[in-house]
Amino acid sequence: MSNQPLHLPDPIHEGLARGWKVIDSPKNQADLKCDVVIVGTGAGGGISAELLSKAGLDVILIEEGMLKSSRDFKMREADAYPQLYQESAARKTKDKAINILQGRTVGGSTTINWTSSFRTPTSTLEYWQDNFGLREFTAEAMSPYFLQAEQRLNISPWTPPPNENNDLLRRGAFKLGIPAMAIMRNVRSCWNLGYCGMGCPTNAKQSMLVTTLPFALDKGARLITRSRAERYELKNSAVQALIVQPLDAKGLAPEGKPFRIRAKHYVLAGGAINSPALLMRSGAPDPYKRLGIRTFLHPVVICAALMNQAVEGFAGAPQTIYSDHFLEMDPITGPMGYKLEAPPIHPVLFASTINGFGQLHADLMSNFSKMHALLALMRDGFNPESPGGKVELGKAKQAVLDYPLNDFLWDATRRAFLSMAEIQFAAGAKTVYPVHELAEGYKSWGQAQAAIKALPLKPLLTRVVSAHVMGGCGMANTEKLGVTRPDGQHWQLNNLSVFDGSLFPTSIGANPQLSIYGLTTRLAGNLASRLSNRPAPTLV
Amino acid sequence: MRRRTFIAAGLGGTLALAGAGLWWNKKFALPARNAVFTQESRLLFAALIPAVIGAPNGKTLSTTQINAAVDRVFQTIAQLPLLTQDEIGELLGLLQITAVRKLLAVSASWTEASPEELAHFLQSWRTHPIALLQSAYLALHDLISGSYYADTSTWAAIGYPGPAVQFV
Repeated sequence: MSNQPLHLPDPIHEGLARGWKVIDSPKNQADLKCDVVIVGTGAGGGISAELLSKAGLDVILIEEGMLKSSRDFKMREADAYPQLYQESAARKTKDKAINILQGRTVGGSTTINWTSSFRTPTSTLEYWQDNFGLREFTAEAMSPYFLQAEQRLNISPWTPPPNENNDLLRRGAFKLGIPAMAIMRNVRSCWNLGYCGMGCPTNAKQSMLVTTLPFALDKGARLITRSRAERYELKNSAVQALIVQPLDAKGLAPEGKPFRIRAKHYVLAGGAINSPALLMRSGAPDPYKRLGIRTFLHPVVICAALMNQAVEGFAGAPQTIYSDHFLEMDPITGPMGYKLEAPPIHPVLFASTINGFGQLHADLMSNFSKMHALLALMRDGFNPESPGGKVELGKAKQAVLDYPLNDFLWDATRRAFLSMAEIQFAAGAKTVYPVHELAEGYKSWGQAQAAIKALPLKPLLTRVVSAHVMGGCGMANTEKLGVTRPDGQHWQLNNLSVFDGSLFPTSIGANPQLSIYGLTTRLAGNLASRLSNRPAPTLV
Repeated sequence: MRRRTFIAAGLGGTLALAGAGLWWNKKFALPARNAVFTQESRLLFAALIPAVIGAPNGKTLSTTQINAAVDRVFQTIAQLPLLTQDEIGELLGLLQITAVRKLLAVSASWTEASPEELAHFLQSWRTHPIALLQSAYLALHDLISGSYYADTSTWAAIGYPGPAVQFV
């Protein structure tokens, strides 16, 4: 490819030039009124914004992060993590044992995710039907909504060959007779660069940033960025106003006067962890102690491997091959299953994730371009021994997730390390490195097997990460089991709906973006219909 | 014997940490994050950076590389939530207390500490029975390694060419 810098159009700057109403951290803002105020601009907030504005409703969106777009996306971790992620990509659970990657920018996590798109597995929906009374959530009933989202966001099979990092998963699994398949991606004319996690520089990724949000802004929706939804004012089972606090230049500290937004209806789409925390700060009724519990993460463990050949896991689309073999081995309610994928490998993410210091660390980094990595995403929330975590408020009333790691999860972790190591050796790995403080490089499957079986699996010794936040405002057909009704409305607040991943009563068992798109398409479409007295709008 | 020493040091560590917190609050009526961006912290990171990073591709870090990496560590910290900055400030304040440093078997100043002493300190916290100290090790590991490799100048040594295309 040419080394000459290329120029590409930036649809966000074009929209701003057309007169979009975007206000960045207003320091002296008068109170505002609208039909619907949406907190958050990620998967849930983006879809909601398109459907509600399509129905002719006056919408305001509140986003804590900044508005960044393709011209800002320079494929550099040093810029991307502080600008586009919650807590500089270093958000942690209460005991600091799990590092969480979550977006904090216009478009939310959809701006920085790795584009993996899966419909909600039927087994997950069936579990919701059986355990939370969500009888209308069958695969058949959800199918038209997934289809709309797939068409709107160009979610389609990825046909170019996988990069070597993903192909190693395919080849290793094939040798062992383990099925591995291609992942659908929400891209259009993708350049196959491999920098999805730093914001797509070519606008190929069909994130909320370049699809639903521009649609809503073109319809006259207002977007207020670098402003934190502080709390709702509540009275008589209804929200009276949303109080918004503008932030300073870095987006870290309050700066300027808080203001109120009054709306007919309030949509909460701050994502799991943040949405329950906002309801807690507001003193929302919680008669059955459901708020913030059952927060799920798909806890992830990682296994790196040194190959003989160049892998260059930084180049080419990330996560294009997966295996559900270890999700499907046992019933969903049995021992915890896990999904295997191959993440992108970039210097900051890799250097800070791999264990060790000094020569051990330097040796791994010296072989950076020959390193391969697999991750196992564990399906939490389907067994009494997997209750997930609980959102709490910290000393500055900030969201804190307490997610204890227990033996049920460690059992899956050990199996996952074994599966990943075996696949990596089958794919030709020279040395395999489970990411654990006491694990060394293992030279053979036999050596790895014996060592992994003996590893003490404990918090902070085992590196656990997450990129999927779910639950905390779970849906159920009775207020005894959920924060929200099956239509997404809060059980005790009659003008507030939650439309984001915090609705999920369990984890999904797959990368969740399409689950949020499909669910929100259904729920926000129905809300738009109710508020506008028109038929439910669609995405296509 | 070794195990016993370890546990004793662990208990001592906890007491020292509690004491240091109290001391800190008395000495400065300021948020702990103010302890981050000081000359003392610079020297501490200048000692820890080569201990964490080692010699990528066999090349020992130069003083210039170390100083530039300290700047990047400071930049990284300055972009973290304020409460996290406070926690890091408390950790750095703690490590600068002479008694604590001696407890960690780093005999002279951090600047004069030998590579063996630094490695011993990192390894003892890495596997420490007290979760707080383990998480402090991980914080130093992630902060230093992440900030170090954030810069273009470090990429050649690890064979990372950077993005294949540039856009303006």
